Amino acid sequence: MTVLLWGVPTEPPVAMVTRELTELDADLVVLHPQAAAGQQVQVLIGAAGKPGVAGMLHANGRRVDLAGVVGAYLRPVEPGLVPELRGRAETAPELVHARRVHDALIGFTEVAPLVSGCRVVNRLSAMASNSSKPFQAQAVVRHGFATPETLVSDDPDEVLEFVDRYRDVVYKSCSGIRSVVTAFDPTADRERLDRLRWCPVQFQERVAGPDVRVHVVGDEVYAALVDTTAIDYRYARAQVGSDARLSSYRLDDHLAARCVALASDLDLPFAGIDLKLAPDGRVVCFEVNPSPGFSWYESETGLPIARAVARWLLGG
Amino acid sequence: MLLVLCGLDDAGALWFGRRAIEAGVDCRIVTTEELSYVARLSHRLGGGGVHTTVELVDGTLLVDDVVAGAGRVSGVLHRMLEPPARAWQRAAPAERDYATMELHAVVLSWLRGLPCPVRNRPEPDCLAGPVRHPFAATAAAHAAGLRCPTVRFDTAAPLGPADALLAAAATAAGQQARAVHLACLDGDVIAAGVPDEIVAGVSAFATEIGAGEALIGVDFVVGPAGWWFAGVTPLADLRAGGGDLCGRLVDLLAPTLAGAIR
Repeated sequence: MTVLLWGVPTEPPVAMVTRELTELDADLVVLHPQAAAGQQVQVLIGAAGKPGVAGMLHANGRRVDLAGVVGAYLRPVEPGLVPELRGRAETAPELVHARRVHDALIGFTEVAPLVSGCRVVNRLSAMASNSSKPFQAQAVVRHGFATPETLVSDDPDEVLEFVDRYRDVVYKSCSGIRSVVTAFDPTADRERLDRLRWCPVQFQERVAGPDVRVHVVGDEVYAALVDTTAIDYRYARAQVGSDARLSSYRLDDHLAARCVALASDLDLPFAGIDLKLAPDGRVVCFEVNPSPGFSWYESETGLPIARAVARWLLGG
Repeated sequence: MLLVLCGLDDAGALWFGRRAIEAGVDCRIVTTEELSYVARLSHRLGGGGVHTTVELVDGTLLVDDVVAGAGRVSGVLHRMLEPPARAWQRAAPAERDYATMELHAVVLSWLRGLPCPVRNRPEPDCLAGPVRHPFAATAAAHAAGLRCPTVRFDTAAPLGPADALLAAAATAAGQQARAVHLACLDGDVIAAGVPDEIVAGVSAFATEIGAGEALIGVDFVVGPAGWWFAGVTPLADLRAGGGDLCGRLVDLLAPTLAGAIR
């Protein structure tokens, strides 16, 4: 029962899943991106004319048979962003090798679920749905959730009309790049609107009501209610002077089932779904995070998310 | 109107567009470069659905699937591999990367939300359409009944995954092998002289990778030891597909002019 943990071991989500897998007696192989120099991977697809994946992984002084890997938890770091490799020439041997290890692990984790039933949280190709929030929104609507009224535009006049219509408007990135959700200030921001000509920006109606973060693990849900007046609760201390308070929250069965179906449709066994319970009764979905940094929610609420991920990786 | 979206260096798409125009098809080619310098780009989502307005610098106004003054867009041949971010080419890397990601996000949503037929609709991990990692593609080809080589990828060897697959196929096919590229539109192989089992296998493969409504190119190496799967691309070689492929595309994307090209 070998499980790969591909990420920085001290990063809280990786550390928490590691701890839970250890308690479940899993055989763990931690693949630290900073240790790529000492890692070697050989992958074989379709050996002996049969579909399947085989190969060997050499890491941490161990030799691991890839055919025996039952699960993989992915929080990788792009090789060019690893501190020791940052700024190296593309042809630098250590960066070239790190990229090859990266490629091999991506390839293995893409194919293994298809041919050997290996459980991967989450395949990088599936994570890509988060590269476009408007694209994700189209999937969200198919599952019966509302999405905020949204305008992505490079036209200042159109943006001002949108602001006039919805009054309370926020802006943020529409790609997977993290940004702070910020309220549009009709006075201060008006001067900057000409910059939109260079690149469209996403504006949304600001939806009132409490935030609920739903972690889906397989067919289980773990929801947390967020209490704050901040626009972006992740940055509540900076925005309103105190951290958001989190508490566990019981979703009704129908809503829970829709969350599971949405994550499944996006091919994400593990997902963090951001909802807002609007006063008008709408359940508004903002996005589905394919690599949830769940540690804060778990430590504040006691929700056993890491345990659920560990169990899922082991086939439970 | 048939709309062709492609890069300025996409000789196949430009060839198809010119051929369609010569055959009398109302066809407009819009390049990634033109889209990089639009006069206006607006994309709306919400209770009213998905709506996009694109105004080109020549005044052409595209609102959802209607070109102002020119009628409805009957279909789109979409071949853009990269988002229209040429305006950011010389910007600082962090700024350029951010803008490129944002434009990718908008174009992905725009083309996914168009009500008319689009070949190919973009996928989150590839703007040009369905694509699979070479290992996953090999597994899918195996499942579809195509003959696949044993692919070996080793971090100590120089070949990347796609090249490792191609090299393995070349080795398996034997000496004096040749490369064969098959265009497959909506599950149908558009080529003559292809063995029935390969036609059936490619069709099943398209289904396996979620390309049942897509135009893909499937590569083989063919030699004394038969046809060996060697890769897949969402950018099929249009010229290799010839008049038959052009005709099928026009039938699909500009149906009122079915039969204009053969």
